[in-house]
Amino acid sequence: MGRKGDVIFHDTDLLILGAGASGCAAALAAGGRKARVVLADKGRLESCGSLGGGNDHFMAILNTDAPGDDYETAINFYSTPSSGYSRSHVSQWLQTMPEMIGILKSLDIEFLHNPDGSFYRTTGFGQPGSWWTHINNGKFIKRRLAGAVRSTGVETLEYFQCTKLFTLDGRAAGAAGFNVLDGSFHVVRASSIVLALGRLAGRVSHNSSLNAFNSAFSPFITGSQIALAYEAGAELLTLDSEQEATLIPKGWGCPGMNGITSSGARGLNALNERYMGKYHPMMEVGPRCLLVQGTARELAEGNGPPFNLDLTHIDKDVLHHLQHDSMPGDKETWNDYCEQAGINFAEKPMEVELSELYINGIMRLRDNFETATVAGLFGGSMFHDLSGSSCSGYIAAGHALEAVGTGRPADKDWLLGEASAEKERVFRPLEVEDGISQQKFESAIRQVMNYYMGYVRSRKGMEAALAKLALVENNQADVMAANLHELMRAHESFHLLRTCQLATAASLERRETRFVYRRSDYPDQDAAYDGKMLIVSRGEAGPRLEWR
Amino acid sequence: MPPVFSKETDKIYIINSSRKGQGRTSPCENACPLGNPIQKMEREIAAGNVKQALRVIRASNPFPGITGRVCPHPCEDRCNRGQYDEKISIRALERYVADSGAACRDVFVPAPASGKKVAIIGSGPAGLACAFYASLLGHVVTVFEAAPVAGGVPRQSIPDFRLPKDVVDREVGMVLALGVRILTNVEVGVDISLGEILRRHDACLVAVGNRRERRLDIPGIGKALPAVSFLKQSNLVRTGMDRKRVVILGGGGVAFDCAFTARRLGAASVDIVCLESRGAMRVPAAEIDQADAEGIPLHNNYLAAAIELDENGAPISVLADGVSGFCFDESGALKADLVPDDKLRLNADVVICASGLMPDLSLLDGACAQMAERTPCGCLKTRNSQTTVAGLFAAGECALGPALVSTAIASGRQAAFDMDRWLRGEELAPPIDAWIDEAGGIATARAKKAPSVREVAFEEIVNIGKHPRGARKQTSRLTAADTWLAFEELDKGFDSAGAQAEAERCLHCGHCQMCGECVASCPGLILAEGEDSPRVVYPDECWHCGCCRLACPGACISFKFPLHTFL
Repeated sequence: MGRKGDVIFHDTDLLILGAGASGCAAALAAGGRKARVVLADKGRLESCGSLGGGNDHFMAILNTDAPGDDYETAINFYSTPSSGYSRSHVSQWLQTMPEMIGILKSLDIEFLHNPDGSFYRTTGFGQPGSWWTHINNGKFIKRRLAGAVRSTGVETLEYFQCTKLFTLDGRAAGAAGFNVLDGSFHVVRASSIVLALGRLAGRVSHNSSLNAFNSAFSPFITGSQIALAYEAGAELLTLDSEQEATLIPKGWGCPGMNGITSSGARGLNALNERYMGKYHPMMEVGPRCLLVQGTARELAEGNGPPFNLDLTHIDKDVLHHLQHDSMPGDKETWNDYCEQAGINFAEKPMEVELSELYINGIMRLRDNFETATVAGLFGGSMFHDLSGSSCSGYIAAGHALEAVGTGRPADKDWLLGEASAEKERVFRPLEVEDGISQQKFESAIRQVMNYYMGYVRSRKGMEAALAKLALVENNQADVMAANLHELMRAHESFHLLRTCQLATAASLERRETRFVYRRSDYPDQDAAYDGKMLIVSRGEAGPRLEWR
Repeated sequence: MPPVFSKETDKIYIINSSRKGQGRTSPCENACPLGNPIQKMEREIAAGNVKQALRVIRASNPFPGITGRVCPHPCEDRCNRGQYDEKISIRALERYVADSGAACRDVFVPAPASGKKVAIIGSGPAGLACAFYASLLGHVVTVFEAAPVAGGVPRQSIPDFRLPKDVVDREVGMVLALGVRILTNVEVGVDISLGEILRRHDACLVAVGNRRERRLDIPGIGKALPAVSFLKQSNLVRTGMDRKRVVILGGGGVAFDCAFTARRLGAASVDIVCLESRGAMRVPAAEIDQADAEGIPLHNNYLAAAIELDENGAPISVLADGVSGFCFDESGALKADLVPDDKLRLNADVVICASGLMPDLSLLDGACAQMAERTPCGCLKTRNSQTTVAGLFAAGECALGPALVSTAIASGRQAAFDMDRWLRGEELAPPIDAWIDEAGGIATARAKKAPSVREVAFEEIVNIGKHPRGARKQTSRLTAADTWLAFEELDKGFDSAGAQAEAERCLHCGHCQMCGECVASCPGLILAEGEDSPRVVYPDECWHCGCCRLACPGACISFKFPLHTFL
């Protein structure tokens, strides 16, 4: 344990920021070799990240004879002009999947198999093949992964919240942040860095429960991946396109609706109509963004609330597996909630609601997962879900290891000099008096996002949002934190604010309706955007937005 | 959304009905007829606080030296640790605590005198448990015992090699030390009438046990010795059985006790004839091993058919028929499938019949209590320990039917508190909590509401790896060949190092031990170490991800979701 204000210097070859599925997989790829590796997270290895409470699926394309199970289909599905993934990126992911399954199996994670020995797999939202394997004891994954990482001898920096990446001459130089429990300040020198801080930024808006932590996906990931990379000079993609939402049980945030809809759930509106038929021929299992848009439109037209997912027509054994084995794998407390809320798939439809919004930006990467503009900065957390996050962390760390030694380590005194200004900034909220509380500051961000950045937007609304987010930012220097816990939340909200600003600015640029939100001023898809990507990067006077 | 922690209690409970703060608990504590705070006892032993462990256990069970030797330990049978490596040796730990503190008379402080007089008929486990607590509750207690010694079955019918009599006498002495009088050689219904006792006391407890021995209905049975009478005889006025050939009919614990006793009294041969197959006998495997070691053949799957007598009417042999299966019909009568031509003949000078016990409530005859209602099996019918005659209470086997010693103690304990409330003119129905207050006296309160306590299943302990694997520690055990006295106790129990190591093996299912794993594992860092369990410092920041529960090595965490998640 350090003491408040202590400055502790770490020297390493490879720094992995984030120790969720992505960071742990990165550490497994990099640990136990010659290079010195530091794995850092604001939580503890055994539980941090989205995977902490478990996961019940691992998406795997296995090149079998099953329809759509070949690499070409998967590459064509993921490597589109607007996805930000090159064919090489996807191909590396596909090739890593069997290895990752092997790692999980070596940790006694149990996959469901068909009688013929093949993996039991089901189909995900809008996908051309049955790619989703099922895991039986998903709640053990993170703890066991952590055990495997610890046994590699990787140096860990737990309870460390990263607030800044340092670059020198266009190259990664290190990072700084503080220990959220003891207040010590840490400076890490590393010329290779894997960013694995999570892909889905939460706490952007809230659902009907009005509690931003009661969310579908982890509320402890608030856009650090986006904000840190942006400040360091990386180019960001998909901020305009890959915003995300889902359905959740009314009033209670949890992931896992994929499993429910792919089991054959029927979405019903207040008129008892199976409304998704109006929006996509695959109905509930069509692209998830359409499920969101469709539900939002029904809501706007007064065809709901309530909305229900009805599974009562499905085989009782399937439902029992789904409710009692599968869902708790995604959310450990699922059974407790169902018992208290009286949810029983077999007996009655479950009331659901449209969840809060998530923002999802990835870095523009070369084929070796290194950012195009900052040498030595690599992207983990690039693909979706357990499969995507773990595989991308694993791949990125492999490439980052190769890059170790290609750049000269930054001068220690220079780094400590830079860090001292950062230290001043980091701890400032602890000193502020008569300012704005961290909670109030953060809810101000959501107040803007909820109102102007919902599932139907317009240019005027988003311009207003940007102006008001700027107003919120003007108060950032006055944010108060009563203790280290609030200081941690304060820095989470600073990253959240930056993420929301960038996503709003990016959405403004997309003058069409194609993804999760509808532009009321541009209600149709516009072919002019086919094959185009919006690239967001830091300019001299704010974000630079550029179509390529 | 936040987690709810099930904690170990600070209180020293006598009866813990409301289980305050314990939404989850272990199978062992649920299985104990006395509701002994097993985990709390083990925690104190592990910490080296044997004196405190003794206080904890004596509060709920005044006779741990007895149950620590003879209880068939339903607690151990259900111990979750058995699914990890080996079950905890709970009974031996209870005994260790009792033996370590055998000389300690520093118990609890009686309440001020109530001015009420209580009579207890029978000084067995139920009667003496009631006497102990009734006396602590401030009443003047007199116990009437028909036998020449106090202590009931443990004192009279359990052989010394299993339960030395100084252990029983010392624990009976604990009751006497409170000022309780025990009048031995007074048989109610013969020496004094029940009516007279009721007239002279404010309340009376009948705790006479099951006294009448059941006999097989076969020719010559009149010449067989009833097993319990034989055991009593051997305990009180021991006579040798030199060169006698002994055959025992029955396969329960009493039959084995008779066999081992006969062997120690010098019998030339001892045989056990029983209906059950070797694998289906209702005794612990250790008993069967001991029978093998002491050269006592078990004739399994045989039903005694007759005792052949010589011209003087003394037994000469036992005849038995082979059985392929058996069951009992609704009236309790045996139906056996005999194997033709499978006959067994064993020479016998002494035949002992161990066929169980029945109630004998003849003491009620002629008294005003004669109208007390009975159950279909002939026991006294009770409600809140009281019979249908006001002021007349009943506990133990005469109210429950055949029961464990621990069940009888629990029943006597409950009767003391029910009787106390009746004497004070309070309502009997709602369950109570009773505990030892800071001054060492008994405090009671009505239990708030019926608790919903979840019993922890082994699979729920996700972070089981936190507990290092380790085999069950063995007590030091002698075989008959190692002893220097024929009736020497065979099990010597734990030494302090063994007890401490064994107590440390407890998984503490459902009772938080403040290990800090959950606090360290919360991804939102919303928990902090608290006074007696972790605290939820930032409840609104809980994502109900369950990482705390996954990190808990005792499955102590449940979730209670707030109103807004149901709206």
